[in-house]
Order: sequence, then C-alpha cells, then structure tokens
Amino acid sequence: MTQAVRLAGVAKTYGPVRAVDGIDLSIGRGETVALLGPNGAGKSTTINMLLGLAEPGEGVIEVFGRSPHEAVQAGKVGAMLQESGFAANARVIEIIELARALYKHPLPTAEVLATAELTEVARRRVDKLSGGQTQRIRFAFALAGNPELLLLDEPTVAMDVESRQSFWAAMRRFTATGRTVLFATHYLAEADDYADRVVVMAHGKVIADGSGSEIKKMAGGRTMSFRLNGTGDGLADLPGVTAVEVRGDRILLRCDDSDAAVQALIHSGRAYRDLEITGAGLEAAFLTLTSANGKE
Amino acid sequence: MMTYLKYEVLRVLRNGAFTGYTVGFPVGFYLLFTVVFDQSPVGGSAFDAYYMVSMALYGAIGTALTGVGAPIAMERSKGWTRQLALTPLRPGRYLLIKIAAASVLSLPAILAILLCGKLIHRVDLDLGTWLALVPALWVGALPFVGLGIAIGYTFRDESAQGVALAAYFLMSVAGGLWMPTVAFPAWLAKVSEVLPTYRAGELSWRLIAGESPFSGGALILAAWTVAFLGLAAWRFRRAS
Repeated sequence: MTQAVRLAGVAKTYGPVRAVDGIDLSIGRGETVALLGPNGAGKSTTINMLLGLAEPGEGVIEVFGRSPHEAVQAGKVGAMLQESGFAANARVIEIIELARALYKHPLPTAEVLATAELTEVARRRVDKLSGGQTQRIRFAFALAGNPELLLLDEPTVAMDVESRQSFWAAMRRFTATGRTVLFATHYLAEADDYADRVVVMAHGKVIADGSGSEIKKMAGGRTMSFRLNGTGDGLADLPGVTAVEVRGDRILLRCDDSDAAVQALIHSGRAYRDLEITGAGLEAAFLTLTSANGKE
Repeated sequence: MMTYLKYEVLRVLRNGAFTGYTVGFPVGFYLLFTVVFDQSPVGGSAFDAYYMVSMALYGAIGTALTGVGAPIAMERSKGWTRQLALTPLRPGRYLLIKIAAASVLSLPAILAILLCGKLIHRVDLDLGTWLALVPALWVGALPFVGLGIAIGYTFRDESAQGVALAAYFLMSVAGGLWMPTVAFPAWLAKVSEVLPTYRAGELSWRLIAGESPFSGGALILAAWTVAFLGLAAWRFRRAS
C-alpha cells in the first residue's frame, strides 16, 4: 500500500530565505505525526506544499501516491490552516453543510458537529463566536469531507486549556478510525502527548524523527543536580553520565541512564546534598536538538 | 452547487447595507422621479415604464458590484477563499456560483421596481414583455458581475467597496440610468453610447417599446461582457 505522505528531497525558497531545505519524510497510513519546531522552522511551508498551495522548488511530494493537488481534488485531504477563515453572516450549520456538499462521501452533519463540539452553537453566526470556537469550525470544516489525511497547522493556537483538551479528545476519536494526521505545533507537550511520532524541524530541515521518548533520549534523557562538598573531578566518568556542568554551587549531570548514575554517585562516597533528578521533557529535548543543529 | 448557491444567497440577504443599496436606492429614485417630478415620454415609452426598467437595471448592477463582487475582497481577507482552496471545489464552479448568486440576489430589486411600476403607475405591458424583462436585466447585469469579481480580487476590503461604488455611480449616471441620455449634452450622449450601462439598459428599453431587445448595440454589450468576465478570470487566477 502506498504511503499517506512522501516527501523526497523537498526544498522551497522564498527570495533569499530557504524556508524548507531538503526534507525526506514518509508517513504511513494511520500514523499521527507531530511536526515540531519553532516559528520559521518551515512547518507551515511544508504543510502548504502538501496541500498544493505552494509548489516545491526542488524534490517530489506525493500524497496517497499522487500530486498534492490531485489528492485535494479527490477529497482525500482535509486541512486546518491558520490563515483560513469564514465570511461574515453565515451560520455554523450552513458552513458545515456547504463543506459536506463539496465532497463525495461526507460524514453525517450531526457527527461532524458532535466531533467538533459545535452542536450547541450550530445556529449561531460564525462571526459571533470566540477564537476557540472558530478554530473548532475550522476543524469541523476539515472533517466534514471524511478525509483520509488531516493536515493541521498549529490547531490549538487560539484555544484556552479547556478547549485544547476537548480538541485533542475530538482528534483522538477521529484518529481511532484509522485516519492519518499530521499536525504542526510548537507546543512541545502536545507533540509528546498526542503524536505517535514526532518529527522535529529547525531551519528548514528535519533534525530528529522518532517517538516522544526517543526524542527525549536523543537529547540526553534526564538531568541530575546536587550540591557537592569537595571537587567535582571524575564525575564525567560515572556510568550513565554524558556531560557535566557547574552552575553556581550546583553541579548538573546530563544522563542517558540516570538510574546507573545515581547508583554510581552513591557508591562513590562523595558528600552530596539536595539531589534532584528532572526529566528533560520534550521542551529541553527540543532546545538541545535545535541548538545543536544551529552550531553545525 | 445548490448548497453553495443557497449559502451565498442567505449570507448576502442578511446584510442590511446590501438591501439598502440594491433595493432601497433604486425604489427611492424611481418614486422620486416618477411621483414627485413629472416627466415626458422617452423614445416612444412613457417615462414611468422607461424609468422603471432603468432603475431595475440600476438595482441589478448594484447587486453585482456591491453585493456580490466587492465583498469578495472581504472573503479574501477573512481567509474564506483560502479555506475553499483546501477543498475539491473547482475555480470555475466558484465563479459560476458568484454569477448565479448575483442573478438570484438581483431579483428583490428587480421585482420591487417592476411592482412599483405596475401598481403605482399602472405600467401596461403584455405578459410576455414582463417575463422577458427579468432575463434581459440579468443579461444586462452580467458584465458587472465580471467587473465586480475583478474588483474583489484586485482591491482590499473597504477600498474594493469604494472602487465598486465609484464604478457603479459613474457608469450609471453616464450610461443614462439616472436620467435619460436625451437630456445629456451631445458629447456626453456620445460617451454613453459606448458604455455597458447604456447598452445593458437598451435591451430592456427596446423591449418595453415593443421592439426586439437585440440591436447593433447588443454587440457592444457583448464585447463588454467578454472583456469584464475575462478581466475577472485573470484577476482570479492572479490571486489564487
């Protein structure tokens, strides 16, 4: 079976800016993938190219084995973009009915409204709704055609914490039906929590690709810190430790195996105090990855 | 197609300014110049009938330019055209829907003015002529749908509405819709003859005078129609 998405050697230049600088990426059917990176990393450009809204300067893009434009025309792709919106004076339900009418095999209206949690505001005018609700209309519009691939550019950007959670719950219901989802985000927790796979982008390149925990491991796993009476010599040689940093009176040990490092620290008989071990979290992982890339 | 057309029509009808410009103004003008002032016959037709079709066309052109065409600028800035670009809707379909919406939405103005003529001034036309007036007015408004779409795809928000209004008033006055060209100085009457507003009006003026709507002037209207629809298609492609 063909991949849902395939990019090979894709690059896109806007004037002097190389927005996307040679990407190779394949996404299998049914995967939920986060495209993670800071602003200007090339996420939106990548999504626009996958929708046929921008042409790649170099390389090949396929969506379900055809060109992005053909895939959109065939109704296989639904998308939620930041710059998309709705003209005034239309009701939510009218927008959804219109979206459904544009596709051959739409989802039932009630299901679209329920999934996007819009049932209660179905009769309201779109221009009278909050940012979070508008964002859910975008989601409903993207869902209505029953697409096999959903592309979401920063989907939760205008939402408060509560709407964010209900949005992702709705998304889970959708992906449970075997659809493929690619979402761009710079919310690190979101990528970690909701994606099977995280693709990290920086400066137009893919700099890491793996599960959330793999990304964390790649960036050094955990950090152990403590105060020490005496010299820090030899700490770098402890098992599980990858780097040593001194910050004021605290010593920070970056660990790829913090369990082994703790054992070794205890057995070394050093007089340490105030021991703390913190998970790197995707945020730290992400910073490490992007800054490492910047030094090249 | 029908779902989208219905959506477009409902959405525009909810806009109060639209009803004002396209129904209120022409009806007001018609009553002002036929009830308040007394006028002599023009080109073999009673002024009441002549001005009735002038104002009906004025309303239909207003719909095309300010109700359907210029608001496209707003659709663009709000991201609606972007949203549609993510769907299988083909661009040709989109333009067809805009044209169809302009025709449907011009009906309130057309019918209101024709009713005023019939009820207030007892304008006497045979049934065939009454029925032929609606398509004649639609055909006359068609180039302005093209011009409106071109404006909507060229200018931004308020400036699009401003440009559309300027084109609307200038061409309506110079084309003899506000007052008949017989009242114009010779040079302005000459200008009128090449304008799409005058040639669009000619279709209906000929109809109520009992003539075939099509004369040599229809060719000039056809040329404007092709030119403005072409302009619309070009601006549309540039923007998408």
